[in-house]
Amino acid sequence: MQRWFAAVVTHRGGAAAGVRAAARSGLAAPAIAAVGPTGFRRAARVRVYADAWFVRLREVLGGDYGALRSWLGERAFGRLARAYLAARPSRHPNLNCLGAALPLFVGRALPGDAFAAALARLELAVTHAFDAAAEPELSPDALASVPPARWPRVRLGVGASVRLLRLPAAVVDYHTAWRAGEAPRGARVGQVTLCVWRQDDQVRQRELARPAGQLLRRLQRGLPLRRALDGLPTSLPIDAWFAQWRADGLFTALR
Amino acid sequence: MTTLPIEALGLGLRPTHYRDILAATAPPADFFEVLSENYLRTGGRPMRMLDRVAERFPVVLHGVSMNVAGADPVDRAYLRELRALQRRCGARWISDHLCWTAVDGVHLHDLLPIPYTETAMRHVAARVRRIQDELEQPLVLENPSTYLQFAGADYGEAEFLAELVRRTGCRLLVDVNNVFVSGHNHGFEPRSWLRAIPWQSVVWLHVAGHTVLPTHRLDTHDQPVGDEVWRLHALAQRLSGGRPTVLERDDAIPPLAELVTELRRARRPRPAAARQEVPT
Repeated sequence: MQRWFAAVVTHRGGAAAGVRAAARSGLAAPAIAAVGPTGFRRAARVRVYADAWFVRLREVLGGDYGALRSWLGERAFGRLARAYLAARPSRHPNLNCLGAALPLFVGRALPGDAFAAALARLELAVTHAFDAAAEPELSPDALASVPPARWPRVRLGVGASVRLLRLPAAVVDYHTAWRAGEAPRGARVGQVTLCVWRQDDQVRQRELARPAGQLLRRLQRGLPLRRALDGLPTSLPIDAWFAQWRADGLFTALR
Repeated sequence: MTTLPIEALGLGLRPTHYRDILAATAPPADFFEVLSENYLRTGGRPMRMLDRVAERFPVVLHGVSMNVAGADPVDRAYLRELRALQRRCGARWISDHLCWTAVDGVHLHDLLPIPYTETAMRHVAARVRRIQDELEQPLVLENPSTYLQFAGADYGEAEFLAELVRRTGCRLLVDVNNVFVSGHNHGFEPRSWLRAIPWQSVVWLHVAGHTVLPTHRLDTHDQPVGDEVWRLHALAQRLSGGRPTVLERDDAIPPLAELVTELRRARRPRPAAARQEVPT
Protein backbone atom coordinates (compact mmCIF):
# COMPACT_ATOMS: atom_id res chain seq x y z
CA MET A 1 0.00 0.00 0.00
CA GLN A 2 2.72 2.49 0.97
CA ARG A 3 4.71 1.84 -2.23
CA TRP A 4 1.57 2.37 -4.32
CA PHE A 5 0.79 5.56 -2.44
CA ALA A 6 4.31 6.93 -2.81
CA ALA A 7 4.41 6.10 -6.52
CA VAL A 8 1.10 7.88 -7.09
CA VAL A 9 1.72 10.92 -4.92
CA THR A 10 5.18 11.65 -6.31
CA HIS A 11 4.51 10.95 -9.98
CA ARG A 12 5.79 13.73 -12.25
CA GLY A 13 2.54 13.78 -14.18
CA GLY A 14 0.29 14.12 -11.14
CA ALA A 15 -1.92 11.70 -9.26
CA ALA A 16 -4.00 10.38 -12.19
CA ALA A 17 -0.89 9.59 -14.22
CA GLY A 18 0.61 8.10 -11.07
CA VAL A 19 -2.31 5.70 -10.65
CA ARG A 20 -1.90 4.52 -14.25
CA ALA A 21 1.88 4.17 -13.86
CA ALA A 22 1.49 2.25 -10.60
CA ALA A 23 -0.90 -0.16 -12.29
CA ARG A 24 1.57 -0.70 -15.15
CA SER A 25 4.30 -1.39 -12.56
CA GLY A 26 2.20 -4.08 -10.96
CA LEU A 27 1.70 -2.21 -7.67
CA ALA A 28 -1.57 -3.30 -6.11
CA ALA A 29 -3.92 -0.38 -5.51
CA PRO A 30 -5.44 -0.33 -2.02
CA ALA A 31 -9.21 -0.32 -1.69
CA ILE A 32 -10.32 3.16 -0.72
CA ALA A 33 -13.50 3.30 1.32
CA ALA A 34 -16.54 5.09 -0.06
CA VAL A 35 -17.38 7.22 2.96
CA GLY A 36 -18.11 10.88 3.59
CA PRO A 37 -19.32 13.53 1.14
CA THR A 38 -20.41 11.93 -2.12
CA GLY A 39 -18.84 14.75 -4.16
CA PHE A 40 -15.42 14.02 -2.68
CA ARG A 41 -14.51 11.18 -5.00
CA ARG A 42 -11.73 8.65 -4.54
CA ALA A 43 -9.50 10.19 -7.20
CA ALA A 44 -9.89 13.63 -5.63
CA ARG A 45 -8.97 12.22 -2.23
CA VAL A 46 -5.71 10.82 -3.58
CA ARG A 47 -5.09 14.09 -5.43
CA VAL A 48 -5.20 16.02 -2.14
CA TYR A 49 -2.09 14.16 -1.02
CA ALA A 50 -0.34 14.44 -4.38
CA ASP A 51 -0.96 18.18 -4.62
CA ALA A 52 0.08 18.79 -1.03
CA TRP A 53 3.29 16.80 -1.50
CA PHE A 54 4.41 18.79 -4.52
CA VAL A 55 3.35 22.20 -3.26
CA ARG A 56 5.06 21.66 0.09
CA LEU A 57 8.37 20.53 -1.40
CA ARG A 58 8.33 23.15 -4.15
CA GLU A 59 7.88 25.81 -1.48
CA VAL A 60 10.76 24.40 0.56
CA LEU A 61 13.00 24.53 -2.51
CA GLY A 62 11.67 27.98 -3.35
CA GLY A 63 12.49 29.12 0.19
CA ASP A 64 16.10 27.97 -0.11
CA TYR A 65 16.47 29.09 -3.73
CA GLY A 66 14.44 32.27 -3.87
CA ALA A 67 16.80 34.10 -6.22
CA LEU A 68 16.90 31.12 -8.59
CA ARG A 69 13.10 31.04 -8.54
CA SER A 70 13.06 34.73 -9.38
CA TRP A 71 15.62 34.24 -12.18
CA LEU A 72 13.80 31.31 -13.80
CA GLY A 73 10.25 32.51 -13.22
CA GLU A 74 7.47 30.61 -11.46
CA ARG A 75 6.61 28.11 -14.20
CA ALA A 76 10.16 27.15 -15.07
CA PHE A 77 11.04 26.84 -11.39
CA GLY A 78 8.03 24.56 -10.90
CA ARG A 79 9.18 22.35 -13.80
CA LEU A 80 12.70 22.28 -12.38
CA ALA A 81 11.35 21.34 -8.93
CA ARG A 82 9.26 18.50 -10.42
CA ALA A 83 12.24 17.12 -12.31
CA TYR A 84 14.57 17.49 -9.33
CA LEU A 85 12.18 15.77 -6.91
CA ALA A 86 11.79 12.89 -9.35
CA ALA A 87 15.54 12.55 -9.81
CA ARG A 88 16.56 13.23 -6.21
CA PRO A 89 13.70 12.29 -3.88
CA SER A 90 14.09 13.33 -0.27
CA ARG A 91 16.14 10.79 1.67
CA HIS A 92 16.25 12.55 5.01
CA PRO A 93 13.62 13.31 7.64
CA ASN A 94 14.78 16.91 7.74
CA LEU A 95 13.73 19.20 4.89
CA ASN A 96 16.90 21.23 5.42
CA CYS A 97 18.63 18.61 3.28
CA LEU A 98 16.12 18.62 0.42
CA GLY A 99 17.84 21.09 -1.88
CA ALA A 100 21.45 20.06 -1.26
CA ALA A 101 21.90 18.57 -4.73
CA LEU A 102 19.97 21.22 -6.66
CA PRO A 103 23.00 23.22 -7.91
CA LEU A 104 24.51 20.10 -9.50
CA PHE A 105 21.11 19.17 -10.89
CA VAL A 106 20.60 22.63 -12.39
CA GLY A 107 23.95 22.30 -14.13
CA ARG A 108 22.74 19.13 -15.86
CA ALA A 109 19.06 20.01 -16.33
CA LEU A 110 19.69 23.52 -17.70
CA PRO A 111 22.98 23.15 -19.57
CA GLY A 112 22.46 26.41 -21.43
CA ASP A 113 21.95 28.45 -18.27
CA ALA A 114 25.28 28.67 -16.44
CA PHE A 115 23.96 31.73 -14.62
CA ALA A 116 21.24 29.62 -12.97
CA ALA A 117 23.73 26.97 -11.84
CA ALA A 118 26.03 29.60 -10.34
CA LEU A 119 23.12 31.31 -8.61
CA ALA A 120 22.07 27.97 -7.13
CA ARG A 121 25.62 27.38 -5.84
CA LEU A 122 25.56 30.77 -4.13
CA GLU A 123 22.18 30.11 -2.52
CA LEU A 124 23.29 26.68 -1.30
CA ALA A 125 26.33 28.34 0.32
CA VAL A 126 23.98 30.75 2.11
CA THR A 127 21.86 27.82 3.35
CA HIS A 128 24.95 25.95 4.53
CA ALA A 129 26.19 29.01 6.37
CA PHE A 130 22.79 29.46 8.00
CA ASP A 131 22.60 25.84 9.19
CA ALA A 132 26.26 25.22 10.11
CA ALA A 133 27.03 24.16 13.67
CA ALA A 134 27.66 27.04 16.06
CA GLU A 135 31.30 27.50 17.07
CA PRO A 136 32.97 30.10 19.29
CA GLU A 137 35.18 32.54 17.42
CA LEU A 138 38.88 32.57 18.14
CA SER A 139 39.60 35.45 20.50
CA PRO A 140 42.28 38.11 19.87
CA ASP A 141 43.96 36.92 23.08
CA ALA A 142 44.28 33.38 21.76
CA LEU A 143 45.97 34.68 18.62
CA ALA A 144 48.22 37.06 20.57
CA SER A 145 49.40 34.21 22.78
CA VAL A 146 51.12 32.39 19.89
CA PRO A 147 54.92 32.90 20.07
CA PRO A 148 56.24 34.36 16.78
CA ALA A 149 58.49 31.36 16.19
CA ARG A 150 55.50 29.04 16.22
CA TRP A 151 53.43 30.87 13.59
CA PRO A 152 54.80 29.02 10.53
CA ARG A 153 53.57 25.71 12.00
CA VAL A 154 50.21 27.00 13.23
CA ARG A 155 47.04 25.66 11.64
CA LEU A 156 44.09 28.02 11.90
CA GLY A 157 40.72 26.32 12.07
CA VAL A 158 38.22 27.97 9.74
CA GLY A 159 34.57 27.94 10.88
CA ALA A 160 32.18 25.32 9.52
CA SER A 161 29.91 28.04 8.15
CA VAL A 162 32.58 29.45 5.83
CA ARG A 163 32.07 28.77 2.11
CA LEU A 164 34.38 30.02 -0.64
CA LEU A 165 33.00 30.34 -4.14
CA ARG A 166 34.33 31.48 -7.49
CA LEU A 167 31.37 32.99 -9.33
CA PRO A 168 30.47 35.37 -12.12
CA ALA A 169 30.26 38.85 -10.60
CA ALA A 170 26.91 39.26 -12.35
CA VAL A 171 25.50 36.38 -10.28
CA VAL A 172 26.63 38.03 -7.05
CA ASP A 173 25.08 41.31 -8.18
CA TYR A 174 21.80 39.64 -9.09
CA HIS A 175 21.65 37.86 -5.74
CA THR A 176 22.48 41.03 -3.82
CA ALA A 177 19.74 42.96 -5.60
CA TRP A 178 17.24 40.14 -5.07
CA ARG A 179 17.99 40.01 -1.35
CA ALA A 180 17.47 43.75 -1.10
CA GLY A 181 14.20 43.48 -2.98
CA GLU A 182 15.56 45.64 -5.77
CA ALA A 183 15.56 45.25 -9.52
CA PRO A 184 18.83 43.77 -10.83
CA ARG A 185 21.30 46.52 -11.61
CA GLY A 186 23.79 46.74 -14.45
CA ALA A 187 25.84 43.63 -13.89
CA ARG A 188 29.62 43.53 -13.70
CA VAL A 189 31.61 41.22 -15.93
CA GLY A 190 34.25 38.70 -14.91
CA GLN A 191 34.58 36.35 -11.97
CA VAL A 192 34.88 37.10 -8.27
CA THR A 193 35.87 35.11 -5.20
CA LEU A 194 33.13 35.26 -2.62
CA CYS A 195 33.34 34.26 1.03
CA VAL A 196 29.97 33.40 2.66
CA TRP A 197 29.80 32.80 6.39
CA ARG A 198 27.70 33.32 9.50
CA GLN A 199 28.50 35.69 12.33
CA ASP A 200 26.18 36.78 15.15
CA ASP A 201 23.39 34.71 13.60
CA GLN A 202 23.61 36.68 10.35
CA VAL A 203 24.75 35.18 7.06
CA ARG A 204 27.33 37.55 5.60
CA GLN A 205 29.34 37.68 2.41
CA ARG A 206 32.47 39.46 1.30
CA GLU A 207 34.33 39.52 -1.98
CA LEU A 208 37.99 38.60 -1.65
CA ALA A 209 41.01 39.29 -3.82
CA ARG A 210 41.77 36.07 -5.66
CA PRO A 211 45.02 35.33 -3.74
CA ALA A 212 43.18 36.01 -0.47
CA GLY A 213 40.64 33.39 -1.49
CA GLN A 214 43.44 30.94 -2.31
CA LEU A 215 45.04 31.52 1.08
CA LEU A 216 41.78 31.12 2.98
CA ARG A 217 40.97 27.94 1.06
CA ARG A 218 44.37 26.48 2.00
CA LEU A 219 43.75 27.31 5.65
CA GLN A 220 40.34 25.69 5.33
CA ARG A 221 42.06 22.53 4.10
CA GLY A 222 44.12 22.52 7.30
CA LEU A 223 47.51 23.54 5.91
CA PRO A 224 49.96 25.10 8.37
CA LEU A 225 50.49 28.80 7.84
CA ARG A 226 53.89 28.49 6.14
CA ARG A 227 52.56 26.09 3.51
CA ALA A 228 49.38 28.10 3.08
CA LEU A 229 51.48 31.14 2.23
CA ASP A 230 53.70 29.25 -0.26
CA GLY A 231 53.94 31.05 -3.56
CA LEU A 232 52.04 34.17 -2.48
CA PRO A 233 53.97 37.40 -3.09
CA THR A 234 55.11 39.06 0.14
CA SER A 235 53.83 42.35 -1.23
CA LEU A 236 50.25 41.25 -0.67
CA PRO A 237 48.41 42.83 2.33
CA ILE A 238 48.28 39.53 4.18
CA ASP A 239 48.28 41.12 7.67
CA ALA A 240 45.24 43.19 6.71
CA TRP A 241 43.44 40.09 5.38
CA PHE A 242 44.04 38.22 8.63
CA ALA A 243 42.86 41.18 10.70
CA GLN A 244 39.67 41.31 8.63
CA TRP A 245 39.06 37.56 8.83
CA ARG A 246 39.60 37.58 12.59
CA ALA A 247 37.16 40.47 12.98
CA ASP A 248 34.71 38.60 10.75
CA GLY A 249 34.94 35.62 13.10
CA LEU A 250 36.17 33.20 10.43
CA PHE A 251 38.72 31.51 12.72
CA THR A 252 37.50 29.10 15.35
CA ALA A 253 40.56 27.09 16.39
CA LEU A 254 44.31 27.24 16.71
CA ARG A 255 46.29 24.05 16.37
CA MET B 1 11.75 18.85 32.69
CA THR B 2 8.50 20.65 33.46
CA THR B 3 5.06 19.15 33.90
CA LEU B 4 2.27 21.05 32.21
CA PRO B 5 -0.66 22.30 34.30
CA ILE B 6 -3.96 21.23 32.84
CA GLU B 7 -5.05 24.80 32.19
CA ALA B 8 -1.80 25.71 30.37
CA LEU B 9 -2.15 27.50 27.04
CA GLY B 10 0.56 27.02 24.46
CA LEU B 11 1.54 28.30 21.04
CA GLY B 12 3.41 26.64 18.22
CA LEU B 13 6.83 28.32 18.20
CA ARG B 14 7.36 30.05 14.86
CA PRO B 15 10.48 31.99 13.77
CA THR B 16 8.47 35.09 12.90
CA HIS B 17 7.57 35.47 16.61
CA TYR B 18 11.02 34.88 18.19
CA ARG B 19 11.71 38.53 18.81
CA ASP B 20 8.28 39.35 20.26
CA ILE B 21 8.27 36.28 22.49
CA LEU B 22 11.65 37.14 23.97
CA ALA B 23 10.85 40.84 24.32
CA ALA B 24 7.40 40.34 25.90
CA THR B 25 7.01 41.71 29.42
CA ALA B 26 4.04 39.43 30.09
CA PRO B 27 4.41 35.77 29.00
CA PRO B 28 2.51 35.37 25.71
CA ALA B 29 1.84 31.71 26.51
CA ASP B 30 2.39 29.19 29.30
CA PHE B 31 4.47 26.93 27.04
CA PHE B 32 5.60 26.50 23.45
CA GLU B 33 5.37 23.58 21.09
CA VAL B 34 8.52 23.22 19.03
CA LEU B 35 8.54 21.72 15.52
CA SER B 36 11.33 19.20 16.06
CA GLU B 37 12.64 19.02 12.51
CA ASN B 38 13.20 22.78 12.37
CA TYR B 39 15.90 22.38 15.01
CA LEU B 40 17.65 19.25 13.79
CA ARG B 41 20.81 19.67 11.73
CA THR B 42 20.92 23.40 12.16
CA GLY B 43 23.24 25.34 14.39
CA GLY B 44 22.60 28.99 13.85
CA ARG B 45 19.89 31.41 14.80
CA PRO B 46 17.13 28.77 15.16
CA MET B 47 19.06 26.92 17.87
CA ARG B 48 20.04 30.09 19.66
CA MET B 49 16.43 31.27 19.66
CA LEU B 50 15.19 27.90 20.87
CA ASP B 51 17.73 27.96 23.69
CA ARG B 52 16.50 31.37 24.78
CA VAL B 53 12.81 30.45 24.56
CA ALA B 54 13.44 27.20 26.47
CA GLU B 55 15.25 29.13 29.21
CA ARG B 56 12.06 31.05 29.89
CA PHE B 57 9.21 28.71 28.97
CA PRO B 58 8.39 25.01 29.17
CA VAL B 59 8.54 23.39 25.73
CA VAL B 60 7.30 20.18 24.14
CA LEU B 61 8.61 18.66 20.90
CA HIS B 62 6.29 18.02 17.99
CA GLY B 63 7.63 16.20 14.94
CA VAL B 64 6.39 15.19 11.51
CA SER B 65 8.98 12.67 10.29
CA MET B 66 9.13 9.78 12.74
CA ASN B 67 7.35 7.49 10.27
CA VAL B 68 5.56 5.84 13.17
CA ALA B 69 3.47 3.55 10.97
CA GLY B 70 6.01 3.13 8.19
CA ALA B 71 7.28 -0.13 6.74
CA ASP B 72 10.94 0.98 6.72
CA PRO B 73 13.08 0.17 9.76
CA VAL B 74 12.70 2.57 12.68
CA ASP B 75 15.21 5.39 12.11
CA ARG B 76 17.36 5.15 15.24
CA ALA B 77 19.67 7.97 14.16
CA TYR B 78 16.69 10.31 13.89
CA LEU B 79 15.46 9.23 17.33
CA ARG B 80 18.91 9.89 18.80
CA GLU B 81 18.86 13.38 17.30
CA LEU B 82 15.42 13.94 18.84
CA ARG B 83 16.65 12.82 22.24
CA ALA B 84 19.63 15.16 22.00
CA LEU B 85 17.30 18.01 21.10
CA GLN B 86 15.03 17.11 23.99
CA ARG B 87 17.95 17.15 26.41
CA ARG B 88 19.13 20.49 25.07
CA CYS B 89 15.81 22.27 25.44
CA GLY B 90 14.41 20.30 28.38
CA ALA B 91 11.28 19.34 26.48
CA ARG B 92 8.78 17.43 28.59
CA TRP B 93 7.34 15.33 25.78
CA ILE B 94 8.19 14.08 22.29
CA SER B 95 5.20 13.87 19.98
CA ASP B 96 4.49 12.88 16.38
CA HIS B 97 1.55 11.56 14.36
CA LEU B 98 -0.30 8.32 13.75
CA CYS B 99 0.71 8.06 10.11
CA TRP B 100 3.52 6.99 7.82
CA THR B 101 5.89 9.46 6.17
CA ALA B 102 8.53 7.46 4.28
CA VAL B 103 8.89 4.26 2.30
CA ASP B 104 11.95 2.60 0.76
CA GLY B 105 14.06 5.39 2.25
CA VAL B 106 12.16 8.15 0.45
CA HIS B 107 10.62 10.76 2.73
CA LEU B 108 7.34 12.25 1.55
CA HIS B 109 7.15 14.91 4.28
CA ASP B 110 3.42 14.44 4.65
CA LEU B 111 1.20 12.72 7.20
CA LEU B 112 -0.08 9.78 5.17
CA PRO B 113 -3.04 7.61 6.15
CA ILE B 114 -2.96 4.05 7.44
CA PRO B 115 -5.59 1.32 7.32
CA TYR B 116 -7.25 0.79 10.68
CA THR B 117 -6.95 -2.99 10.54
CA GLU B 118 -5.76 -5.50 13.10
CA THR B 119 -2.71 -6.18 10.93
CA ALA B 120 -1.83 -2.50 10.98
CA MET B 121 -2.48 -2.40 14.73
CA ARG B 122 0.06 -5.13 15.38
CA HIS B 123 2.59 -3.43 13.10
CA VAL B 124 2.15 0.04 14.60
CA ALA B 125 2.08 -1.20 18.19
CA ALA B 126 5.37 -3.05 17.69
CA ARG B 127 6.95 0.07 16.22
CA VAL B 128 5.64 2.35 18.95
CA ARG B 129 7.10 0.02 21.58
CA ARG B 130 10.43 0.03 19.73
CA ILE B 131 10.40 3.83 19.45
CA GLN B 132 9.55 4.20 23.12
CA ASP B 133 12.40 1.87 24.04
CA GLU B 134 14.78 4.05 22.01
CA LEU B 135 13.40 7.26 23.46
CA GLU B 136 13.14 5.78 26.97
CA GLN B 137 9.79 7.49 27.47
CA PRO B 138 6.21 7.26 26.26
CA LEU B 139 5.64 8.66 22.79
CA VAL B 140 2.81 11.14 22.34
CA LEU B 141 0.78 10.43 19.19
CA GLU B 142 -1.52 12.85 17.40
CA ASN B 143 -4.49 12.04 15.19
CA PRO B 144 -3.77 13.56 11.74
CA SER B 145 -6.28 15.10 9.36
CA THR B 146 -7.01 12.54 6.68
CA TYR B 147 -8.64 12.69 3.27
CA LEU B 148 -9.15 9.01 2.55
CA GLN B 149 -9.81 5.85 4.49
CA PHE B 150 -9.07 2.31 3.42
CA ALA B 151 -11.75 -0.32 3.06
CA GLY B 152 -11.80 -3.31 5.38
CA ALA B 153 -11.12 -1.44 8.62
CA ASP B 154 -11.42 -3.31 11.91
CA TYR B 155 -11.38 -0.11 13.96
CA GLY B 156 -12.52 3.47 13.73
CA GLU B 157 -9.68 5.96 14.15
CA ALA B 158 -10.50 6.77 17.78
CA GLU B 159 -10.86 3.09 18.65
CA PHE B 160 -7.54 2.39 16.92
CA LEU B 161 -5.84 5.04 19.04
CA ALA B 162 -7.47 3.74 22.22
CA GLU B 163 -6.30 0.21 21.51
CA LEU B 164 -2.82 1.47 20.66
CA VAL B 165 -2.67 3.19 24.04
CA ARG B 166 -3.75 -0.03 25.72
CA ARG B 167 -1.11 -2.12 23.93
CA THR B 168 1.83 0.28 24.17
CA GLY B 169 1.23 2.77 26.96
CA CYS B 170 1.77 5.63 24.52
CA ARG B 171 0.11 8.98 25.19
CA LEU B 172 -2.18 10.97 22.93
CA LEU B 173 -2.30 14.47 21.56
CA VAL B 174 -5.85 15.13 20.43
CA ASP B 175 -6.02 17.61 17.58
CA VAL B 176 -9.58 18.84 17.79
CA ASN B 177 -9.40 20.52 14.40
CA ASN B 178 -8.19 17.27 12.82
CA VAL B 179 -11.10 15.40 14.39
CA PHE B 180 -13.46 17.93 12.86
CA VAL B 181 -11.80 17.90 9.42
CA SER B 182 -11.56 14.11 9.24
CA GLY B 183 -15.11 13.77 10.59
CA HIS B 184 -16.39 15.93 7.75
CA ASN B 185 -14.28 14.19 5.11
CA HIS B 186 -15.23 10.68 6.24
CA GLY B 187 -18.74 11.25 7.49
CA PHE B 188 -18.21 10.41 11.15
CA GLU B 189 -19.50 12.29 14.16
CA PRO B 190 -16.64 14.20 15.87
CA ARG B 191 -18.36 14.14 19.27
CA SER B 192 -18.56 10.35 19.17
CA TRP B 193 -14.87 10.28 18.24
CA LEU B 194 -14.03 12.33 21.31
CA ARG B 195 -16.12 10.06 23.55
CA ALA B 196 -14.16 6.99 22.38
CA ILE B 197 -10.78 8.39 23.44
CA PRO B 198 -9.08 7.26 26.70
CA TRP B 199 -8.74 10.75 28.18
CA GLN B 200 -6.46 9.72 31.00
CA SER B 201 -3.76 9.20 28.34
CA VAL B 202 -4.25 12.54 26.59
CA VAL B 203 -1.45 14.98 27.32
CA TRP B 204 -2.52 18.05 25.40
CA LEU B 205 -4.90 19.32 22.73
CA HIS B 206 -4.43 21.13 19.45
CA VAL B 207 -6.68 23.70 17.87
CA ALA B 208 -6.14 25.25 14.43
CA GLY B 209 -7.97 26.69 11.46
CA HIS B 210 -8.92 24.86 8.30
CA THR B 211 -10.18 25.67 4.82
CA VAL B 212 -13.70 24.84 3.65
CA LEU B 213 -13.76 23.62 0.04
CA PRO B 214 -16.82 22.63 -2.01
CA THR B 215 -16.23 18.91 -1.57
CA HIS B 216 -14.14 18.60 1.57
CA ARG B 217 -12.24 20.40 4.32
CA LEU B 218 -8.51 20.92 4.24
CA ASP B 219 -6.28 21.20 7.31
CA THR B 220 -4.39 24.36 6.37
CA HIS B 221 -3.53 26.14 9.65
CA ASP B 222 -3.78 29.42 7.77
CA GLN B 223 -6.73 31.11 9.48
CA PRO B 224 -8.36 31.51 12.88
CA VAL B 225 -9.96 28.52 14.57
CA GLY B 226 -13.59 28.13 13.50
CA ASP B 227 -16.48 28.27 15.95
CA GLU B 228 -17.40 24.62 15.36
CA VAL B 229 -13.86 23.60 16.33
CA TRP B 230 -14.00 25.76 19.47
CA ARG B 231 -17.27 24.04 20.41
CA LEU B 232 -15.60 20.67 19.95
CA HIS B 233 -12.66 21.88 22.03
CA ALA B 234 -15.06 22.78 24.84
CA LEU B 235 -16.43 19.23 24.74
CA ALA B 236 -12.90 17.82 24.81
CA GLN B 237 -12.17 19.91 27.89
CA ARG B 238 -15.32 18.66 29.61
CA LEU B 239 -14.59 15.01 28.77
CA SER B 240 -10.95 15.24 29.80
CA GLY B 241 -11.41 17.27 32.96
CA GLY B 242 -9.05 19.81 31.42
CA ARG B 243 -5.96 19.53 29.27
CA PRO B 244 -3.37 22.05 28.03
CA THR B 245 -4.19 23.50 24.62
CA VAL B 246 -1.82 24.53 21.82
CA LEU B 247 -2.92 26.87 19.04
CA GLU B 248 -1.18 26.03 15.76
CA ARG B 249 -0.69 28.46 12.91
CA ASP B 250 1.62 27.66 9.97
CA ASP B 251 0.59 29.94 7.15
CA ALA B 252 -0.61 33.56 6.96
CA ILE B 253 0.83 33.85 10.45
CA PRO B 254 -0.51 36.95 12.23
CA PRO B 255 1.33 39.06 14.81
CA LEU B 256 1.95 37.34 18.13
CA ALA B 257 -0.55 39.55 19.98
CA GLU B 258 -3.33 38.44 17.65
CA LEU B 259 -2.57 34.76 18.27
CA VAL B 260 -2.42 35.34 22.01
CA THR B 261 -5.89 36.89 21.89
CA GLU B 262 -7.18 33.92 19.90
CA LEU B 263 -5.52 31.46 22.27
CA ARG B 264 -7.38 32.97 25.23
CA ARG B 265 -10.59 31.49 23.83
CA ALA B 266 -9.23 28.13 24.96
CA ARG B 267 -9.06 29.22 28.57
CA ARG B 268 -11.39 27.45 30.94
CA PRO B 269 -12.01 28.43 34.58
CA ARG B 270 -9.11 27.46 36.78
CA PRO B 271 -10.01 24.64 39.16
CA ALA B 272 -10.60 25.87 42.70
CA ALA B 273 -8.38 23.09 44.03
CA ALA B 274 -4.60 23.18 44.04
CA ARG B 275 -2.84 23.28 40.68
CA GLN B 276 -3.51 20.14 38.71
CA GLU B 277 -1.10 18.61 36.28
CA VAL B 278 -1.46 16.28 33.34
CA PRO B 279 -0.94 12.65 34.42
CA THR B 280 2.52 11.38 33.45
